[in-house]
Amino acid sequence: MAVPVDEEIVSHREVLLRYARVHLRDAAAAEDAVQDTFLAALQARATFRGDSTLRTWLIGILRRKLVDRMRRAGTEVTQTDAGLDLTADPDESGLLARLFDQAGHWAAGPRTWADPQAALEQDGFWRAFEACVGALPPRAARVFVMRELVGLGPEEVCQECAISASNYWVIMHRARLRLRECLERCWFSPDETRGAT
Amino acid sequence: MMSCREATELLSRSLDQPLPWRRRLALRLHLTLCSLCRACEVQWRLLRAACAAYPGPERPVDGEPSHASSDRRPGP
Repeated sequence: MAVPVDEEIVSHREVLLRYARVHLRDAAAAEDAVQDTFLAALQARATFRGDSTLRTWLIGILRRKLVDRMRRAGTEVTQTDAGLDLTADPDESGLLARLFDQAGHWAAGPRTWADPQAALEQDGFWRAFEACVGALPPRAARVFVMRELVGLGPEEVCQECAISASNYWVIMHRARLRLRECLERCWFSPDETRGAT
Repeated sequence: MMSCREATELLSRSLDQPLPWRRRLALRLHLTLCSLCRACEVQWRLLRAACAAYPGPERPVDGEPSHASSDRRPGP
């Protein structure tokens, strides 16, 4: 495996920034952490062995930078990164029983959302979006964010979150079900009652 | 025919990786017949588009400079 050149390393900037922002919630600090990561990566690139992808390797460096940073800032690290809680989320078992009947048909089916593209232009939609993602069980939120907001591939997410592939499918299925239900309730038809149509 | 619950499992999976052809076909058949699962598919595609378009927690509020976003109050 060839030693990665500067351009290859820097081409992952956007994903690294998104990753850092998820953990730091401060754009400037995220930018600094990514800069630190690039410096460390450029110094250490001869040690890149090519048995992980370059992006996974960079995320590994970034993760250490983030843990350092949070430790320095006295932020609780366990919840956000180092120690992912692998115990089952409460309420997970009840979700499918609530959404589907015994035969597996929708108990309360999705509605057609009015003008969804226009929603993306509105601040209120994004507040609802953040609230819904924030309302996911912690492990599901982390897996979903890594996949859809950071943009990691499914295998990378499994590695990052230390879960199996079958865990991943279950978590994403439920997270997506929760999010569509939450967005529908909070944004797309907040004042309609179920069964009215 | 597969249930809606199973169909949504396959649908979710298909957003992350191509399904084997048998499952793909079974899912397509279910979607053809089930308007609720079709609505779910549309919503999940929008969800993905929303994630890709997410402006971040420090997004500027319409017409205001971004520093106001951290301390937003409803107008008079």
